[in-house]
Amino acid sequence: MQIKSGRAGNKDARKMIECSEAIAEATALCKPAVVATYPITPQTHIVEMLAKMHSEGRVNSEIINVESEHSAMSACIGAEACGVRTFTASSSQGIALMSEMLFIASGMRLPIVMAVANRALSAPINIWNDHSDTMAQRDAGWLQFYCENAQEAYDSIIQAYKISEQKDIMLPSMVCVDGFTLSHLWEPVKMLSQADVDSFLPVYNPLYKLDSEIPVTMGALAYPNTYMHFKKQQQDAMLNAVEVIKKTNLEFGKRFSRIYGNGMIETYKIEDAKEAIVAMGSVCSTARIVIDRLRQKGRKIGLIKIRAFRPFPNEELKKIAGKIEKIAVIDRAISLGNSGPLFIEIKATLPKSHINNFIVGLGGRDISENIIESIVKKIGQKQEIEWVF
Amino acid sequence: MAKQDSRKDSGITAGAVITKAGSSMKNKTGFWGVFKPVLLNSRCNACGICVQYCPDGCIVIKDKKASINQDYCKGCAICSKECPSKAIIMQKKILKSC
Repeated sequence: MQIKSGRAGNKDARKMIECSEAIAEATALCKPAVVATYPITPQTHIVEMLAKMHSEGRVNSEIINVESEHSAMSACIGAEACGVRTFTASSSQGIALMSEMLFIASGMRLPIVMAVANRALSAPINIWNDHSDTMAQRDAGWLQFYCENAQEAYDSIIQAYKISEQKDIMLPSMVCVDGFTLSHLWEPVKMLSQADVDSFLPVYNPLYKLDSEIPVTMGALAYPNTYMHFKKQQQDAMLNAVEVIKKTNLEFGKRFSRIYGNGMIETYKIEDAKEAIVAMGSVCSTARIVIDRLRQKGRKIGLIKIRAFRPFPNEELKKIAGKIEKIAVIDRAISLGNSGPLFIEIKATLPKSHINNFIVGLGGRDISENIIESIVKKIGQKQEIEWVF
Repeated sequence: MAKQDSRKDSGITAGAVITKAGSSMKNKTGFWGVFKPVLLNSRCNACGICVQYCPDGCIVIKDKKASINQDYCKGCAICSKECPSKAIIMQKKILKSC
C-alpha cells in the first residue's frame, strides 16, 4: 500500500484550523477524563479551546483550572494515578515550574500526554519560540516528539497516547510544537472521526490504580537497594518505546494514509545525499524548500528530521549516516558552556562524521530560507559551532 | 553488601507501586544502625519505659524482661539513655566482611 507523507493527502476532509485548535481537537478525540488548564503564552489557545469544547458539551473531561503549572502536572499525576487518561499543555516558564513533577510523572510511570508550545526561557523574558524549555527537560523521562506542522501535531497527540499507554512503556509524552511559528499557524488539517480514533486508540487500561477496594501504595520510598532498579526499568521502557513508536507510526499510516518517516526520524531526499541538514520542528519545512532549490543546482543534499528526541534515534541515524559525508545540525537551543543539545547527541551517535553545529532562532529569531542557505554554504567548515544571526 | 540486594529485579513493580500490605515489615531497616542496644538481663526489672520511648517500636516486654528486635532498631540509643536501671548498653556493630 502506498502511503503518502503528512503534507499530502486527500483535500476533502481538510479543515482550515489553527495548530493549537488541531491539538485540542485531537485531544478531545482521545477523550481524557481530566484536563488541567493553566494559561501561558503561546500555549494558551490549546487549553482555551478544550475549555470551550467542554462548555459546548463536545468534551466530557473534567476541566481543572489549576493555580500554577506545578499544580497542573500534580493534578494530572493524581488523576492518572486513579487510572484515567489525562492531558495538559504548557510552555517555557510553565515547563520549568512543573519540572519537579515531570520527573515524578515518569518515575511513577503515568502515561500523561502534554502538548508543549516551545518558547524561550527567561531571562531576559521572551515569549517567542526556541527549544530551550523542553531541551532542559530532556532527562525527565518523558518521550519527546517534535512536530513540523499542524497535521503532524494533530496526529502525534493521538499516537502519543497509544505509545505512552503500552504496557511495556507506561511513560509520559510531550508533543512539542514551535510556539507561534507553529502553534498559532492556520493550516488545512485532515481531521479524523471519533470512530477512527476509537478504533485506533484502545481504552486506557492502567497497570495499577488508586482504588479503595483494592488499595495500593504509590510514590513510596525506594532505598539504595532498589532505586537503581526502578531507574533501569524506566530506561528499558524508553528503549522499548523505539519499536513501539515505529509500529504505531506505521499502523497510523496504514489506517489514515499519513506517515512520518519511520516514526523516529523522517528523511527528505537523503537516498543519494552527500550532505545532510539535521533539524527538529517547523524549521524542517524551510529546509525542505532550500534543499529543493539546491538540488536543482545539482547539490546532493538532504534532510534528516528528528521526530522523536527521546528516545533518541541512535540506530536509525547510524543506518543512514554511512554515505553522508558532511552534516549540519541546526539547533534551536543552546546548552550554555557546550553547544547545541541536538548536536551533542548527534556527535555522540556519529563520531566519525564531519558535523557542524549552527545555533539559530533563539527567542523567536526568524529562520529564513536565506539563513538555511548560509548554513548550507558553511557545511564542512573548520569552525565546529557557529551562531547564525 | 549482600543484605542490600534483598529484592530481585523481577520483584519490582513499574513505578514503585506497592500492591500488598506489610511491605514495611519485610524491609528490615536494622542494618542502618552503627550501634546496637544490648540488654543486661540481670539489671532489667521490666518497668517498660524503654518500650514507650523506642521510636521504632522495637522493644516489647517478654517473660518479665525487655526484648529488643534488632531487625528494625536503628541504634538511636534513646532506650539506653532513658533506662532508670541502666540495663541497656550500646555496642558498636562489627560489620561482617562483604
